[in-house]
Formats: sequence, structure tokens, C-alpha cells
Amino acid sequence: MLVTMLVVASVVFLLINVVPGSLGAVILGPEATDEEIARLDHQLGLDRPVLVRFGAWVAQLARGDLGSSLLHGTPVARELANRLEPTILLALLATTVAVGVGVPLGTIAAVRHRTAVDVASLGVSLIGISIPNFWLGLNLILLFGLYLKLLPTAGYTNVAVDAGQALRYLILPAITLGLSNAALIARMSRANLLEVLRQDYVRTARSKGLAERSVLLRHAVRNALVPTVSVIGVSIALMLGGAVVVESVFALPGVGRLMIESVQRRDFPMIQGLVLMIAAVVAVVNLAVDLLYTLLNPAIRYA
Amino acid sequence: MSPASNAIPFGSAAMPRPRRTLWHHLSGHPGLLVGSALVGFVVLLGVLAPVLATHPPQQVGMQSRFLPPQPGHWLGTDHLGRDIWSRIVYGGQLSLFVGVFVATAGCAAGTALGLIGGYSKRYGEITMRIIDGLMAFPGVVLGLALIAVLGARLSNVVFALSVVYAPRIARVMHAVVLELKEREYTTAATALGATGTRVLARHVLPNAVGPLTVEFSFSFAAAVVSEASLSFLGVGLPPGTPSWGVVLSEGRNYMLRAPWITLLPGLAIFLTVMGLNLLGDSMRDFLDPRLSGAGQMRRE
Repeated sequence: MLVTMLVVASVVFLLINVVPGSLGAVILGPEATDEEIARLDHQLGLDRPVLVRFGAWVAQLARGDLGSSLLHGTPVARELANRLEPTILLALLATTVAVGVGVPLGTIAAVRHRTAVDVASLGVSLIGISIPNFWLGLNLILLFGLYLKLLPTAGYTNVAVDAGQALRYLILPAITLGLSNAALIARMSRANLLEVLRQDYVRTARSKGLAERSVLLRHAVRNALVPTVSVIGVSIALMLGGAVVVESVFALPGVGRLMIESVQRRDFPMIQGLVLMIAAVVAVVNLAVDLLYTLLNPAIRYA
Repeated sequence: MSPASNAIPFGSAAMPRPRRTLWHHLSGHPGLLVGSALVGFVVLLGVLAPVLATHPPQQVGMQSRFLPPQPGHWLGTDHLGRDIWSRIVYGGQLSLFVGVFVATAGCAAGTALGLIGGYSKRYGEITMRIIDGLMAFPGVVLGLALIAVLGARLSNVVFALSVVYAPRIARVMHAVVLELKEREYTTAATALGATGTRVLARHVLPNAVGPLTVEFSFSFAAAVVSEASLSFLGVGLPPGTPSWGVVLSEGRNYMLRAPWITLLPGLAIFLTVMGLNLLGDSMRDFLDPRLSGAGQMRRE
């Protein structure tokens, strides 16, 4: 974990610091004078040796300081905190959609293995995996927002101001972000359940004369869900990447949108801080999922 | 990741393979058939773009703005009067270029890293740690950051996406190499006195080609989506480029007036990606029927 975080920090550092030419020149554009570029490079500390800069940066991170925005001078951490609400809610709702659609779809497919239902569910999940999320989002906007006028197409209201309205703003984005993950989860739960249904204890349960319903729900599905937990963990990374795109489609003022804005404004300290935080969240979630996985399934112990 | 998808035992050992014609293979696997048909169609469109396009993709016409699909402009025109069909056909060429390049570079780097990771204990540990770290970045986020630093150009998009997908391929190849290393024939070769390099080149690598083709197909698909996403976000290819993502994003503001500008390029991306995913997935089933429908396809 510590090693992973060190690698993450180094990659983020290298990203910004080992640019061919001067970063000041990149930020200021072709019209800047050499003097202006030199001043900005000095302000960013870019005129110091690379190793010194890396040390200073890690020390700064260790104090919990992510740096300051180049444009506004505000701390990156504060800007980030201001944008957290829609992103967290979006991720939670999208995960709900993904699990709520994915697990039942996969379960039905496995129970009806090698029937039309199974084939149809595989087809649906193939479509779900292949559909580009920004296109799905635009189509939902067109259908539910512009034609049917059921839901707002863009924007956001803080939960503290109007929770109901906030939810209305988040429905379409959550569906957009959740569906591709639902497809992934459906495929995994189908495969897991098929595997479990071949196990001896399922045969035992059946030969005891248990109703098929109780065999499925009490013996098979519960065990099949264990590996699914790890897919949900993997999908957090997918969600955070997807949020960048989806927040942009629906004009949600979240972390993903902040990332795009920072890229457009060439606010490098901001980009650096955001990328670092996103990768850190993914790494922590993956670790948590690994731990949860060992807890749920004592047969598996990681070396 | 579940144990099922972690170690991927490809090409089960003792299965006798009856010699059959290509058609026999295809007809038993509808996914393979549909997948290759879709991919083949897109490749054909891209290659024949100069012939198939009815207009130059950049040709602006103020009299022909927002035309719905009709003879002459059979997929309609955009807000500058550019022909959507021609732009989609040339966009296919771009997507193919990006996809092939990223998948090739990613597979080459990924295989090299996977081989090191799977074969050398000392370097393997370090390599896999670095790869774990790289995997913590969601693809779009790493791609965005790289392009922000390097500048939005085709070459940089291709480079950034190769950096994004190489570690993901390396992970899979690492698992494959670990698996192949334990096979009897590898041990036999070592026992016969073959050097490590020879075992790698003659026994491990040829048997890794199957899974590698599957990875190629999936990273191709992922690269097409990622390029479109980045271009859609305005940080991939420059505005005006006939790329599917750019065409789509330029039509965003006119969705109610001219929905075909956003619908059609999106459909092109969707069908291409579905074809590649179907192809990769059926190839995997073909190589190891036990995993049917189990594996993951998309990586971010």
C-alpha cells in the first residue's frame, strides 16, 4: 500500500516536472516573454533541481498540503472539498444502479443458463459495456430532458438547499454512469453463480429436498456474491474516470468537472492535486475491498 | 478481482484439435462471426474512406447547414454545413489508427513488462509494484493529465493512451506468464538445459499469443472509446478534426434541432467497440470455453 502510494506520488510528480522545455512556457503560451516565463518558473519553484523539488513536494504532501491553484491562489484541498458533494452522491447513486441492475440480471441469466433469457442478458450486458457513456448521457438528455421534459438536462442544486431537486439533477447522470458497471457486474455475478451451482453443497441442498428457491437464495446466491464484492471495488476506479466524462455531459459541478476546467486553464498545481487524490482514493478503496474480501471468504488468504 | 479472472488458464493442454475450415470455426461461434463482421466493416469503411466519402470532410457550406439526412447528404450536415457521412468515414480512419497504434504499443510494452514480471523474481517484484501504482489512475484521468502537459495533438493522444493501457495489458500477461511457467513443457525445456531466454522465446511467448490477441482486441476497443471521450471533452484531437468524438461534441449544442449530428457518430463508436468486444470475448471463449462470459472486457 505504502509502495503503491509512493509510486502514485512519483508518477504525479514526474507528470508535471519532466516536461520537455519549460512548464512556465506551456502555461503562459507562445506570446509570453522570457522574463515572464522565468518569473513563473521561479514562482512554481521550477528553477530548482528535480530531486529538491520532489523532496519539497513530498514533505508538503506529508503535511496534508496539496498546493495552491495557479489561477485563484486558493488551496487545492479547499477547491476540491467544494466540489465533492455532487461527485460523491453521483458515485453512490451510480453504484446503487450498477448493483441493483447488475446482480439481478446476472442471477436470472445463471438460473436460466443456456436459455433465451441467458442469451438476452449476455446481449444486454455486451451493449452496456460497449456503449460510450457520453453518448448514452446525451441520448438520455435528448429523450428524458428535451423530448419528454421529465428531468433537468444540466446543472445542480446543493442538497442543503433542496434535496429533492438535487436528486432530480442526479438521476440521469447516475443511470449513465451506473449502466456500464451494471453490465460488468451482471457478467461477473452470472459467472460466479454458475460456478457455485456446480458445487457439492448445492447438490447436497437439493438432495435434502430443499425447495429450489431456498437452494438458490440461501445457498447459492449468497456465496456467489462474495467475488462480486471485488468487482464493485474495481468499478470504483471506472466510476471516478467515468465521472469526469459524465459530469461534463450533465454540467455537474463536481470533481471531474473541476479536473476538466483545470486542464483547460492549464492550472497544473490543481491538476497535480486532483490526479493524486483520485488515484489515492482508488488505491484505498482497492485495499479496503481486498481486506473485505478476505473477511467474507476465509478460504482466500493473500500471500 | 475474482479468482476466476485472476489466473487465466489459456489453451487447455490435452485437448485434441480436429482440423477444420475457418468457416466451421466461425459458424460454431456466432459472437466471433458477428464481431469480425462488424470490425471488418469498420476497417473497410476506414480504408475506403477517400472513395466512400461524398464530400471533403472539412468542406463548409453556409447554404447547407443543418440539413437532415437526404439524397446528396445522406446522413445530413452539421452547423457549418459539413457532410456527416464523409466526416464519419474519415473519423473511422482516425479511430482505427489510434486503436491499432495504442493496442500495438500497449501490447508490446505490456508483454515485455509481463515477461519481466513473471520471469525475474527481483525485477518482477519492482515492476509489478510500479504497475499496481499506475493502475490506480483511472484511464481517462491519466490520459487527461498527460495531454494537459504534452498538448492536444494526435501523436500525444496516442502516446498518452498507450501509457494508460500498457500496465493493464502487463497485468494480464504477467498472470499468463506465471501460468505458462508452471507447465510441464516449460519445466522439460529447462531440464533439457535450455537457457531462460530460450524458454521464454520458444515456449512461453508462442503460447502467450492467444491471450495477447484477446488483449489486443479489448485495448483496441478501449482506445477507441478513450480517444472519443477525450476529444468529446475538448482535450483530445483539436476542434474541427473529423474524429467521432469531435463531431459528436460539436453537435451537442444543436441536439434538439439536428439530433443526427450527435446520434450517428455515437452509433459508429458504439458498433465499432461492440464488434471489438465481441471479437475479443469470443476469442477468449474459443481459447478456453470454461470461462465463457465470465471475463471482464472494459478497462478504464
